[in-house]
Amino acid sequence: MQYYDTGFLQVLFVLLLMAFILFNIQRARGGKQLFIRRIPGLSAIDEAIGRSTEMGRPVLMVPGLSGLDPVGIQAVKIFGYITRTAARFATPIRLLLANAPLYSVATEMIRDVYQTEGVPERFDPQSVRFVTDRQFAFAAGVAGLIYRERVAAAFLMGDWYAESLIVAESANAVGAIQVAASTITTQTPFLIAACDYVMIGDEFYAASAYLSREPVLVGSLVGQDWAKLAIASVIVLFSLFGSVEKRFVQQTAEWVQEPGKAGEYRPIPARMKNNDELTPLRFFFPRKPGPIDPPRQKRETAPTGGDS
Amino acid sequence: MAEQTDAPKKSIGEILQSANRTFLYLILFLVVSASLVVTQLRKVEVPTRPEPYTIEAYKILRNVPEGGVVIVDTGFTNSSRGENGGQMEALLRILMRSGAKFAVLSWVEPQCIEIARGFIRRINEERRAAGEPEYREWYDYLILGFFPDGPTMLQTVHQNVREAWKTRQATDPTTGEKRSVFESPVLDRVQRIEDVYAYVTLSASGTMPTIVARIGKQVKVISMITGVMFPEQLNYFKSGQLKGLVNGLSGCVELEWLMEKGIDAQGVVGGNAPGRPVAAAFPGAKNFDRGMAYYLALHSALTLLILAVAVGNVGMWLTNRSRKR
Amino acid sequence: MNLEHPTYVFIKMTAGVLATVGLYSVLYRETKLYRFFEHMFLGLAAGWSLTAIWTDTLKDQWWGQMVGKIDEQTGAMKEPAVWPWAFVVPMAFMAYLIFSRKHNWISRIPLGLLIGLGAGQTFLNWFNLYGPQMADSVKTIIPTTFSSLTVPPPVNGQPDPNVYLSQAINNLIFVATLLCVLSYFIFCTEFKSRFLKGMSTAGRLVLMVGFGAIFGSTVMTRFALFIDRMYFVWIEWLWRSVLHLS
Repeated sequence: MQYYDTGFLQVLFVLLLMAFILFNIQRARGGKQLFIRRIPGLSAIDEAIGRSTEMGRPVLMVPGLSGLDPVGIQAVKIFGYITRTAARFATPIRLLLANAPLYSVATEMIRDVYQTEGVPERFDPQSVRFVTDRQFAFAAGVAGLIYRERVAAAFLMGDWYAESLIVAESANAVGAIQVAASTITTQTPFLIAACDYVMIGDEFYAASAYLSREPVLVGSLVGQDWAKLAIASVIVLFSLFGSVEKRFVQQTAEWVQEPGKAGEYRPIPARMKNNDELTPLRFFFPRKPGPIDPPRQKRETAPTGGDS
Repeated sequence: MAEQTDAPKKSIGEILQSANRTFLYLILFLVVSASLVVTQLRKVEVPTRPEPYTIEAYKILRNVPEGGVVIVDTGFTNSSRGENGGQMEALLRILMRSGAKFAVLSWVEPQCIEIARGFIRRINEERRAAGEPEYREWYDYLILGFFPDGPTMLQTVHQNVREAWKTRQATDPTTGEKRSVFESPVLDRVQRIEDVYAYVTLSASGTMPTIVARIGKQVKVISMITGVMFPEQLNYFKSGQLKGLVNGLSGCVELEWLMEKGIDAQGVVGGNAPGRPVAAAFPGAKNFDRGMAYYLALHSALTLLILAVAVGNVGMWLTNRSRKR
Repeated sequence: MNLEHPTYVFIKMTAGVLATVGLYSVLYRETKLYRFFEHMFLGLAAGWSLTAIWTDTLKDQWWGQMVGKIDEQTGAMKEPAVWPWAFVVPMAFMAYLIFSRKHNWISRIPLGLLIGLGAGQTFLNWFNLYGPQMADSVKTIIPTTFSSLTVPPPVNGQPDPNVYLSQAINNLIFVATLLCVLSYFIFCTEFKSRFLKGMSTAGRLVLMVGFGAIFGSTVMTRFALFIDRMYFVWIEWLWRSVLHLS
């Protein structure tokens, strides 16, 4: 049990999860067609753009407060897909951002979309705007634009925080059809309440991988699925093992660790195990041998108090 | 006028579902305003029952030994003052009345530090008016300032707190010169982060996991957050990563309630069991403030919301029933 | 200028009240009044960001470190200058090359460094963050005693290590819920069997119940923000500053 208690299994577990992702990215890069099921929310995207086209009003896209990180980039990738469809029908777009680096990346990406669609003249540089990086000023700016231009469709995708409801409620007030996706759990209920369709949690990543078919996105999505299955297996197996151990195996020794000394097991009269004494739980909380409380360097002037 | 006569007549169900937005906002405005004024006039105290996570937070904060050091990590601006503001005031009152020393830092937004200064100034004015000694910067508390890269700063704190904050200085009032914060009576005994009694984070966003992942095993972390972030953070309390949790406005009122009533030796809130209380009250002091001032208004607004949801659902039910017929 | 002078404080608060009313006017409709305060808000935010970047980040943490500090009386170096800080300037300017179509690849260097720094910390802290929560999800699902259906009150304040039937059922529901929700977020396969489909559907339903509960809790925040604004207008400004009531 000594090796079990060194915590090396934790490191192995994290490495295993990483390996799943890297392996699947490699598979996708090697030309393997990895399957991703279609997310129902994707159909709502085309429906919303169609409505904007019919009404001749702009399509609004907002990635919340996302920065130049995986969430922001994936949001812009979905916006690229939306813009492609909008460009074909000459539907005006508005992409509003709260992060300057993401703004520059998004501008390039949207311009590229118009060029690949063969209609570069339809790209309006004013359609991609950096509003501000202050949260509520951003919300006020986006709400103002929604009311002024009376957008017909709104796509709210990315990192959303307290500004989510202000924006979603404004778009709702002008009767826009709204499709939202956020990985922020606590904002999802507000988006569900105010929007027509919401992609929940990881569905956001799945949507961008499905639409872009980029090997890195597809591979990492499949790798994450494997990681989820691994975590679920660990929880089920450990729950079963722990339950059986608690029911049938008794504790006959107790872990003792004195300050400054290595810990050791000392025999005790047999009794039922406490939850933290179950073998599976020690995977998470290993008892590392060695001093855990080295003597502190105290200053001579140290007064009383300051308990830690 | 022609449009009005030509428009199809709405059923009761449809009318109930299509209440005018501006009208709803107006009712909310009137109800909230009236509740605030009534609370101010009648000093209304709405009773509450503290949750276990608030009780744990209070137990830790109330038992900081005199001179013990608490880090106050402030991550809120005036936009969430309605919840974090009351929490900050309650926290400062508890720390100052216990004689604890504290250091304020932020890595969310530079504005947070100025806002925290405003709260310290306000509580100090209150102490001055009550004839209590003021809390003095450098001797009793420190402002460590804003850290633009919080995660890296916290990673360094995990390894070596003195390295992480070595460039931080504060003015020593005796000489008027800026000196290292570790020369101040607040931090002079802190060699490692384990020497800090508790780390309290007040935030309107998800900053807590960054703290817990880096220093959660070394110091007791308490999170004071908005109601929006609470459901996500409850898991961290249940798993033992957070030692205490204060949930938005209701958590703020619970803290004020605990300051008023205390927890007796048997662990009962407001009890009178003999023996050393688990966490004593502050009798006779100003305990109810911003939290209680907003609480009646919150109840009124929530009642209105429940009513609106009920009316809308009855309307939907009536419409569906008439369609089926 | 004394920022704590009562007249200044009153002007500041009155401006705050006007801005609050102006921004809330959008609830009626988008008017010139709202537009004025919206643009003022955006302008203030831009100005504030610029100042904050210099005063709170660059001045003390970069410029001050790089040039050191000289004692004005003696002329001696009080704090040594750390000249290698100058190297971050070209690194920072590399990021601006994102605007160049020809050289925008250079901007990826500082960006890569930042992402690498973040990723390294994530690897380091991943288990610290999620390990305890996974451990909390491992539950004992077999009762150890049938002496009582529910957990009896503690004897002599000692915790009872037994797992009672009600606890075991609770734990089983927890594990089943967790598996259902996880199955909803599996995208690499189409569930064909009725059991797995049912699990995924149950996962979605449970999520909706959870979101409903979260909505109920978080609505408090939205109301608290509004109540705070109203408190500012009615009590702090009108009651205390204008009418001077206690």
